[in-house]
Amino acid sequence: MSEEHAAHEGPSYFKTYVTLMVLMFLSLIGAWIGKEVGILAITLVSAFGIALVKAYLVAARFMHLNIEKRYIVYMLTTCLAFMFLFYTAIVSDIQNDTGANWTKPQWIEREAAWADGTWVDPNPVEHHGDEGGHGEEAEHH
Amino acid sequence: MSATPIATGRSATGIGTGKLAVWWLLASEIVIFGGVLVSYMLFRLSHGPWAAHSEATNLYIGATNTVVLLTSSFFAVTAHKYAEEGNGKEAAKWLWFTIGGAALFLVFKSIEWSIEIGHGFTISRNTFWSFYYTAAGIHASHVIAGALLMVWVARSAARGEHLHRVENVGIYWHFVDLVWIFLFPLLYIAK
Repeated sequence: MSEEHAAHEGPSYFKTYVTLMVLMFLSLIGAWIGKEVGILAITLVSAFGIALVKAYLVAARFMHLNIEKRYIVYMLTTCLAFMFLFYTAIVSDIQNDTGANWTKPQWIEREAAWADGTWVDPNPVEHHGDEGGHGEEAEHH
Repeated sequence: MSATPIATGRSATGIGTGKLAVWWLLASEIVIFGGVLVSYMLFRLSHGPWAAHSEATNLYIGATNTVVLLTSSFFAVTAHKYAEEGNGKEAAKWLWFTIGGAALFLVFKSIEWSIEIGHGFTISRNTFWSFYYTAAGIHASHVIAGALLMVWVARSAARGEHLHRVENVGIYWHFVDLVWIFLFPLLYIAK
């Protein structure tokens, strides 16, 4: 048996799979609790914190990045870092409503309406459904 | 003259050339999917009404598809284990299970989109739904591509040929799963 093969058999694939499933359901429960008690941080940590752990497990245990040549990890993280670098250059244009020589009047108006609870969808749907969250359009307060 | 393909037989990099090619492909995919996901996050954070729009996504189907993809990833890594042991038939069998997972994912995705489009949530409805269909659509196209590749690899693996490709296609499939792991909370949980 090769050294790589032996390393693959370290943590059981099935145990990793069960862990992923448990984490998936924990993220749903956490998000539900966050919504029920009205604390956004619980929802975000449950959703994205657990997603990061799941992503690590898939990358390390299923894709075997934990035993892969290190330069593969560096290659992938370099691409990830550049992707974020590109976004830091444009994030201010997206997140701000005014700049040195520009403004977003419609955005300012819409966000103000959203903040004081008077926002209405300019393109409302004609009929409302009832499955899985459909039809809960426009009402936010 | 020999017709032996040299690309699978040499490896100055320490890993097989095909596997290295898959890693390079995924490196480029990180920028594609990362771009879409980060753009979505930036717009979501800065556009209050997107919270109302995202209320209409279907959590039940999203969660079911997460279970399907995680399960198919387990099938893919099991296929890889058998390929390493030189058992092509078992590897092919588990690859077919993985393909079944891909098909199931696409069935649920079709049902989900049919319901949403039926309610008037089309790609041209607003920027939120444009992002939604773009992100989920690019991902679904990768699911289709992965399933077709696995059919090709499973057929040769069943004959005991090119078993190293089982790992290569598996790495690609796990990446498709990885992308969904982030799409799921973004589109379905963080409302």
